[in-house]
Amino acid sequence: MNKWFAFCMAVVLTAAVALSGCSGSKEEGASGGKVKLVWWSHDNPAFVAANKTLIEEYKKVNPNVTIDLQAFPYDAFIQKLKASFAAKNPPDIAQMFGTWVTDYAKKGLLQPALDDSIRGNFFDASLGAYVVDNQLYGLPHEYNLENGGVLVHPKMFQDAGVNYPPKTWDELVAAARKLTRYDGNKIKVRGFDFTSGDNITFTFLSLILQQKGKYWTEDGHVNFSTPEAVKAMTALKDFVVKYKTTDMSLFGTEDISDTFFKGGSAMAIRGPWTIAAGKDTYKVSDFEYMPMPSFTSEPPYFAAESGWGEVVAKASKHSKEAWDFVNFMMDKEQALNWNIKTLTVPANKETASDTKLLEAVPLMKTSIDVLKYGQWIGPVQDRDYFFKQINDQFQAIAAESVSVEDGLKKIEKEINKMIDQHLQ
Amino acid sequence: METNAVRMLRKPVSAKGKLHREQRSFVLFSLLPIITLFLVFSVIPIIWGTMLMFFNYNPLDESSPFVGLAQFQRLWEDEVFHKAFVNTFKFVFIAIPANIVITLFIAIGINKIHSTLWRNTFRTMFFLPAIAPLAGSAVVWSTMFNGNNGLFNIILEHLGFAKVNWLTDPATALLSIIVMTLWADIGYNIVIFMAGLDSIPDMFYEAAKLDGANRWQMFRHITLPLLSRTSLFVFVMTSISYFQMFPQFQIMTNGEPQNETRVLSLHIFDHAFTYLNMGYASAMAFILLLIILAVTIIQLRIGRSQWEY
Amino acid sequence: MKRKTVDVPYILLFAALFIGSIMMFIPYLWMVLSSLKENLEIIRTPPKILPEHPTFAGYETVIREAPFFRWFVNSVVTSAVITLGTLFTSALAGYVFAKFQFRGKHALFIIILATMMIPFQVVMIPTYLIISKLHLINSLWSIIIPSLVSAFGIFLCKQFVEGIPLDLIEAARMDGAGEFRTFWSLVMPQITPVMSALGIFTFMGAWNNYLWPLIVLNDVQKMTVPLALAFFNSQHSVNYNVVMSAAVLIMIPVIIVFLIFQKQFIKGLTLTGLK
Repeated sequence: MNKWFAFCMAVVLTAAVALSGCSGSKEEGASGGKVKLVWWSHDNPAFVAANKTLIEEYKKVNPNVTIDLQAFPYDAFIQKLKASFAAKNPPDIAQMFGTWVTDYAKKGLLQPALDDSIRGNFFDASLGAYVVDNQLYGLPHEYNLENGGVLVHPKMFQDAGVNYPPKTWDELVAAARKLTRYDGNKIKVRGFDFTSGDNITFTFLSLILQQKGKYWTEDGHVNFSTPEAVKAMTALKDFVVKYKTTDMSLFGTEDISDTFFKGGSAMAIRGPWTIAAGKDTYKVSDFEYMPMPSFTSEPPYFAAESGWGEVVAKASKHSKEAWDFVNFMMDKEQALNWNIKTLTVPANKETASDTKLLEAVPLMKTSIDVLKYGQWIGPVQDRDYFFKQINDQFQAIAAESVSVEDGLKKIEKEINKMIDQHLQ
Repeated sequence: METNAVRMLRKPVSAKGKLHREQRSFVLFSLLPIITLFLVFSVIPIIWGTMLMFFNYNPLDESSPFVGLAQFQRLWEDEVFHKAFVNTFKFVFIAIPANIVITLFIAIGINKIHSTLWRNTFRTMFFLPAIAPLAGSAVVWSTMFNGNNGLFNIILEHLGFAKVNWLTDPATALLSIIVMTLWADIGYNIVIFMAGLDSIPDMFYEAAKLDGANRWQMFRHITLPLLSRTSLFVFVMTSISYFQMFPQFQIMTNGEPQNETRVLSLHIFDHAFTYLNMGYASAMAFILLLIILAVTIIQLRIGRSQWEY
Repeated sequence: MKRKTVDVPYILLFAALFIGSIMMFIPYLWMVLSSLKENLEIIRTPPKILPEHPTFAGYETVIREAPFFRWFVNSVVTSAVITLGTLFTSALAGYVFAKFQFRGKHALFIIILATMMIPFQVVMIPTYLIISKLHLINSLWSIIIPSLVSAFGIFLCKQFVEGIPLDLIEAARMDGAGEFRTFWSLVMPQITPVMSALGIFTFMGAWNNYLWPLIVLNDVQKMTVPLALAFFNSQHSVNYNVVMSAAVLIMIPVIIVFLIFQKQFIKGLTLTGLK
């Protein structure tokens, strides 16, 4: 027993030393004019592929720079970013979701952009979270919008004898009601669905904006006690409670776009990035991406988050090289290829109006057309907390365990408490 | 033995002093590295983590202001925390008794099987889920509970019943997780109860049989009292682990629907790592620790056992 | 004397246990069957339990998209080092706490025990910061070193060493054996059963751990097998045949280890429960 134990110990220790030795952490840095940059991103396969292409392209121009791309699952990525910045050993470049950037920038963890004049090239909504105290802290790839477009099955309209596409809000509601199918008391086809974590909030905010309402106060708090907010929330509640065109049984487990592609809904409001899943995962093409009618006679205004983009860590030893690579990625040609590969809406105005984009991804037209109506969602501080409050209360409102007014008051109270903590 | 005694007598006094010194240095040299590791990777993080509850700590911030007991005041007002608190107790109060009753009866059942081969096979079958990673089991079970193409709904449909939204209906979500937890966890307690049952001498049952006792009376007056020590151990260990259960809640429902499956451990995790309110999370963790401690002490008191560490 | 009769309650009991253990096995069966389904088969309605065209595509994806073999080696090595290290430190500390008197022993032991009740979430960030200060982030050592000492292990070993008669140890000393030799050749062999239980516990814990490696490892080449679960669950939440394949691949080694050592394991587990 003992000899065996000692023997195992020796073998395993040798193996461990060998393993950690051969891949030991060599001091990264410039040796002989060569620079190694570490670049983190999340592990969406399309993003990883597009990022790898960028690295190859960059290598052709700058053979001296090696870029090590490390990709992590979304949830782990968020935690690893926080942990690594807290421990002061962040990657040189991180492909962050725009909304996260503000927090890191405020805490002085990011390197400001060297060239500020580039700002004008981007849509305001996509840049909002990258600007702190009028200083630019990174550059966006993507205009992240969840509004403007609706996934739709035209065939279901045809079969039910409903005019396609609905042009006004009333037509949308009427169509949704006619297209909804029940099997006993279980919903089989959802006429109009919006019940996913992102879309409840975004649809709610857009309905406020389309009434020319506001949800921010001057001092950076939210105000949901307006008649516009009540009307917007009631409209959403009606879909579940009054018209019954959808229910809350998907919330938290299945994405509404997955249900849509499986034929479980006729219309679902979801961002254009879900189109890829329909084509690649479900191998379906019987759907379209139609414009979402406005709630009022105003244009379809909406709020959007700043999407995926690049930031450079202040702790990076090679910030000059890092910024050089970031600027390279934002180059018109590279940006266009990246957006096409990842099926994201460009943050860059010129790229968005490039005809090559719509040639490659025709369905994106719906989104491109509404970009001008978008505004930045605003300083939400903790994004996840903000959305969770709205989702929690919407579930309660839809279950009729709380009134629209009380629910909105609770949302406002909780979000403002969180904002206070962040502004301290 | 005798030779040793003789030798011991012959040993000069100075050698005995040397012996003590040798023992002292042995204690020192063997404990030093162990205690150092223990300090650095257990004690310091715990003290550090616990002290955070007095601060508004965000790991990204340069400074973290001292806030005294403000985190506890916030707990008092946080409705979601209250809900998580209630849910934790709901989970524990259903899952622990269910676990104990089921495992006790299965253990008694398996012990009654005559063939050793079958006894071992049954024990292995019931134990197998306990060795799988909980996170993996949770992923597997969430696909089984899936509302559209999950195993349970396929079966229900074949039998002509309506489908159930196991994980998204507030009425069934927590129960679904409890079922999964029981599946994953009963193996340990079955094995321990079986060992406890083995240690009860057969003669007690034989004597009772001669006195004309029926099965229930034997269970009530022999098995239960003689298993009390094992049961106490099982109760305490199961409680400690169930109060901290985490992966299945995060993976299967993430607290939804309507926070019906949000338990304290998940709420702590979310505040610590999603919202980066480490201070607030520490305060909640401290409450959880107090609950576990209190429950353990109460159980030990009731068990009136001479619990020796 | 005894007459052979059909013992109905016994047959019922046997049948109940048989059905029960089959039911315990169903999730595994479901996992394997799902892992063999085609991408589109999983999302098709109406759903079926059995795969229509069994395929290993899920497994191929796991092996292609992740350096699975490398992860496997990493997992084996780290889990083995952690297991052997924990066994050694637990036995040594258990022996010292059981058989020696020194100042502060009682307090020290209580502190060690108290740490068993702390939820991991509380210590995760501080531990990360410490590991980072030691420049161990993104190294396999960051998984190994914090796990080398186990409070539970020390507790368990102390309980068992206390059962060894002091005479025996004194005798070895009188025979001129050094203190370490006494421990190594006298105490260790005496506590083999508890060591095998502790060993399997530790091995499974180390093998199945995924939250901590996920946080401290950055380099794909350095990751461990359970991370496959996190990787494929986020990427293939719809085509869960891939996740199921990863789950099968992760579980097979633990099940094999368990089946090999199960006798000692059950014996050890039993002892921990009764001591």
